[in-house]
Amino acid sequence: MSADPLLTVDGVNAGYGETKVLHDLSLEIHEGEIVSLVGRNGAGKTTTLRTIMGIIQPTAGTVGYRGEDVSEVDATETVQRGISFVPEERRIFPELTVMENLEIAHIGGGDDADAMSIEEALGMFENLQDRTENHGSSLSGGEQQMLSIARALVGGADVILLDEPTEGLAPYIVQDVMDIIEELNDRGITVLLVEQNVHVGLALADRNYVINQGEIVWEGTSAELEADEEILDTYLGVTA
Amino acid sequence: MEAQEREPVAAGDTILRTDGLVRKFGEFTATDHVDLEIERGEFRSIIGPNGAGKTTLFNLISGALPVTDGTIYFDGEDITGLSPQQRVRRGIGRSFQISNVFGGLSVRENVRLAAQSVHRDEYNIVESLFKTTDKYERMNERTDRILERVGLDDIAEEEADVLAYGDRRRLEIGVVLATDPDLVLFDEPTAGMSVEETQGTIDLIEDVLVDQTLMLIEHDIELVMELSDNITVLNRGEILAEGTPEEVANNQAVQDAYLGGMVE
Amino acid sequence: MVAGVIQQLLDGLTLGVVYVLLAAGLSVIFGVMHVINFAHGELFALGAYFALALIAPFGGTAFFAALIVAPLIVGVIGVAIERYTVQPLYGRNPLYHILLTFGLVLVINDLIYLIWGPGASSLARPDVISGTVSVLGLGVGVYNVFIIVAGSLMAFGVWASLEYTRYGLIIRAGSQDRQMVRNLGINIDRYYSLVFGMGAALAAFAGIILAGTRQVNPEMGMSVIIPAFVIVVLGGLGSFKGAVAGGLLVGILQESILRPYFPFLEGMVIFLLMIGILLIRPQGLFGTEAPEDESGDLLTGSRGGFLDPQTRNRLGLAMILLLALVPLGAGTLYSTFIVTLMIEILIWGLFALSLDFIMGYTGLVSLGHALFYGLGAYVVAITIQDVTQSVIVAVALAIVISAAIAWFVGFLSIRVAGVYFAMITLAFAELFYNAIYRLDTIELFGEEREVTGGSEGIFGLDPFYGIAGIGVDLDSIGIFVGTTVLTGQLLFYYVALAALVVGFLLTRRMLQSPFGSVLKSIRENEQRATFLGYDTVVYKRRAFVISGALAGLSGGLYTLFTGRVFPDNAEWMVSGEVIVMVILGGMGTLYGPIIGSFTFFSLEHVLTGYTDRWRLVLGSIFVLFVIFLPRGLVSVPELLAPYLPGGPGPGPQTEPAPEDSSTGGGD
Repeated sequence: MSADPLLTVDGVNAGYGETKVLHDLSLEIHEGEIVSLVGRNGAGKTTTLRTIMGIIQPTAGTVGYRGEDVSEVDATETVQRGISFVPEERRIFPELTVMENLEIAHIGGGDDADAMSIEEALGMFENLQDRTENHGSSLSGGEQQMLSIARALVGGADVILLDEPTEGLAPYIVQDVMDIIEELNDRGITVLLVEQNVHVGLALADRNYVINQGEIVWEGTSAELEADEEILDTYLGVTA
Repeated sequence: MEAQEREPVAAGDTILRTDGLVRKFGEFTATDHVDLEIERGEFRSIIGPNGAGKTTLFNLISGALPVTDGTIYFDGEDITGLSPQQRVRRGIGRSFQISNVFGGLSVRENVRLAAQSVHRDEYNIVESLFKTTDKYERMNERTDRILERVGLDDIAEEEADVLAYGDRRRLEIGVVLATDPDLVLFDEPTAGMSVEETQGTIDLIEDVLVDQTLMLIEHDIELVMELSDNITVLNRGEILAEGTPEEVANNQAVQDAYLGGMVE
Repeated sequence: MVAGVIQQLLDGLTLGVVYVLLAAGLSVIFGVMHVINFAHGELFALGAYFALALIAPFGGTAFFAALIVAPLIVGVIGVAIERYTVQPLYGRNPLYHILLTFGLVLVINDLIYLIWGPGASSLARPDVISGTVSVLGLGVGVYNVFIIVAGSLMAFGVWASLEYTRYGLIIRAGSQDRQMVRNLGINIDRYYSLVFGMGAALAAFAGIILAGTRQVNPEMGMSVIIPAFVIVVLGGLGSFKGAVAGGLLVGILQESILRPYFPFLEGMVIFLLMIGILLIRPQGLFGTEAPEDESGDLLTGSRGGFLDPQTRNRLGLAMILLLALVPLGAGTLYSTFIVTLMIEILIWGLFALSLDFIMGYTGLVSLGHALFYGLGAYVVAITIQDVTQSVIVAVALAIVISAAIAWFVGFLSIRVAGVYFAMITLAFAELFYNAIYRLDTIELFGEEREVTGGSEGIFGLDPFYGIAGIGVDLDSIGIFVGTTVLTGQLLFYYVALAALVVGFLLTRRMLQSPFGSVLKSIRENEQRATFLGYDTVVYKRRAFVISGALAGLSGGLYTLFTGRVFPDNAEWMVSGEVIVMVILGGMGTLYGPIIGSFTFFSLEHVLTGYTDRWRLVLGSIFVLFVIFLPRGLVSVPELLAPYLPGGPGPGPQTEPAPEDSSTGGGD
């Protein structure tokens, strides 16, 4: 593990209007890692991702990327710097075809020379290959999730923020999504994963952060987390 | 106000029953043949992983969403086709996941609006148009009573927007109480609260809503185990298990759903 | 026979193609920016005028050059409009874009009058596209063919660029999910000006090709904007495909079917169609579900916390007394014209108040309040002309009928939300406006009887202020106050004042009643009101009925004031002007609209002293208001409070003043 983290969140406070969601939250992610952020509903997981993306700006603290302070950088610029967001609702453009969904993401990546080509991305997602001319609205939940991840890849992402990628999916598709996450990690992409399903996080992540009420309350490897019944019980509602 | 204890559940007096409740969103089945039976005076918690269909179930019961299939009975009558407001009038109150009072109105106006809804039939249309609100004694008495009950009588003239978080919660509960419900649906009333705030809110609910049947969606398993008469566990829109806290805690299927249900 | 049918079909296609181009821009602008551009018709007209100016020195041969250059100029104007007026309003309720672009209509339209004058001109066109050709033995106008071909090519070009270029892809994606486009690293906001400019250029192109066969006149924009809205709604807001289908449908329906075969229904069927579509399928034939709602609330006027209730009541009373003295000085201190002006202010103050009662208190934005105003005006006129001279009966009928129609319109349309409600009220008002022309006369018992008098209207009314012979004729009595004789208009002034005061007190009372509490809760959060057990649709409908009744009363008073009525009393500009007044004064307070009416007419009066083009100034002021002072004049004291010595300082007071009972929208 290299000494300097790729992405840092340092003492961040953030929220919506009057409501403060994150309190002095800090975490760091190194290049090539899969890090999971787990916690209950309303703990501040999605808000953390939105703050990193610049969809909302922190009221205190900094977000750093490749050694630069990116706290004030907006979402559009963040993507162009190499961080992509795969939101919980997937947000596929329903009236665009699969191909067009990918094309627009490719444009958004700012013609990043390192970005994965659309052909290569389709190679990774077999079930999308035959459906390139279908409209986004005709895809199943699992296919939408795949397309949403594929969009991040062709947009030239070096870091992907995945928000609840397995939510609402059938168990065998959950497995497919997990396989994809591993594969993209093998290709050198850094992943920050938010999961309600602790076990998906445990299976994939190198390291885990447990978030509760907008604060990081625990940090450690998956093996450590699995062994820590108290943490599982108190913060994640998992009764062992 | 004297502290009252919740009455023990009267067996065989069903207040709410759902029969084969189904709700689909496109191809996705959020609620899948759910059969529930809630006794009058019961404290029932609904738990389950994210996406299990808990909030959808509440939306179906309160009428915020139409059902795809199945029937809902309240007080023995079929209410499946009724609008949300008709259900409120029959006694189904609802507290929202996100505190959702009328921010621009005063605390008193918030509670009075709920009280007014209950006393709606006591005045005719012309009267309701031209007689000012302060002239309705019963409605205002009820408002005062509830403000006192939830401890907001001192700050009744404050605008709801400027209330502290805890007071907003009190107001929310006061508003629900003012609609005179028999059954109250609470969707994560303690989300985002500290341990103390959580305890305070639960105490308030237990204290204020002694005569009501309560249904609660909650993530804090410990809290649920402590409070509930019965627990229903949902998973993927289906009832996975149901029973007393002890029965549910010892249920193998529940443990699997929370621990290994998704990952073989 | 066959030749006739083909000719009609060609006419329909010609107009249809023009409509397609006009509606396409309008629709895409809505789809991407959620902006309803009322000024689109004026951009259409500007295209024709610029072409006129370009062609004039060179003759018809310059037509083709103008066809390229004029749209480019208008496109640049469109970009400027977006950048400097539309952009500051993103994030606000879509209503503000309607208001803004309505202001722009006033500005651009008056600029056209100012520069090119009121007359009509025709556009010279080259010989190549003049005359007729014989196709299968039929004489077909070459220019018709040119419009169809050039228009189709243009529409096809737009479609292809939307479908096959990067910009097109981004614009299509943006019309589905703007935030996600940003999340993919594309600064969609940069494309807004481009989209607006392209829409403007398309409208200009449409304006030029239509001007080649019809005349260029300052009202040409006004005459197409409403059909364009119908088309966009029919096809689906935001859908290009919908604009094409809707444009052709309306063009052919209007020119090929209604005009030749059902002239009685012309101008009405499309509005019925529009209403039907909005009720059954608000997203239109090809539209998708309503776009995500990231809009803000309506911005209401001050909380009225500046003065305490007692002072306010005293001030109100003082105002009424002061107003009551106005006629006494007529002819001595100032001319009687001032009284006439004041009557107009009082009547429109009541009308604006009626609109604010639903807009400011329940959040229902009616773009068709001219319906009730016009209805009241016609009911009074027809009653006095045909039934009885009694003003009491006529006004009572106006109120009752307006209320009944409001109930009916409300019954159908209140379940339809937001922008769609605005559109459906516009459609009902236009339906009525067109019906006025069609109901010129009817046959009753074998006898031809005048009803609305068509475009001539009804005049020469002789109202009698009383009932069953007991009462007065204002013109034949006089009341002496000191040395002043009050008669005629000076007496009528008191009728208008009384109506306004009664309307004000009545609505104020209602807002303090349980009914008013529910209205306020609906404005705050309708869903929450539902979960308190209120059937919010019923409450909104009641408010709408009350509003309609008051608007009907004001329209009726206007007939009594002028002694005549004609269709202009019900045109959509009337609906627009009354909204202007509400915004100028301040929404969500009862006195704001009255202040707005006062400001409007005072400005008109002062400005007309200097220029005929007073709407230009008024429109500009209005645009500035919408951008910088959306809470209206009543919010000025509150804004200034922190800077005034001894002022209460910023921040709301806890005790809401009973006068306005408003609770400030907050965004």
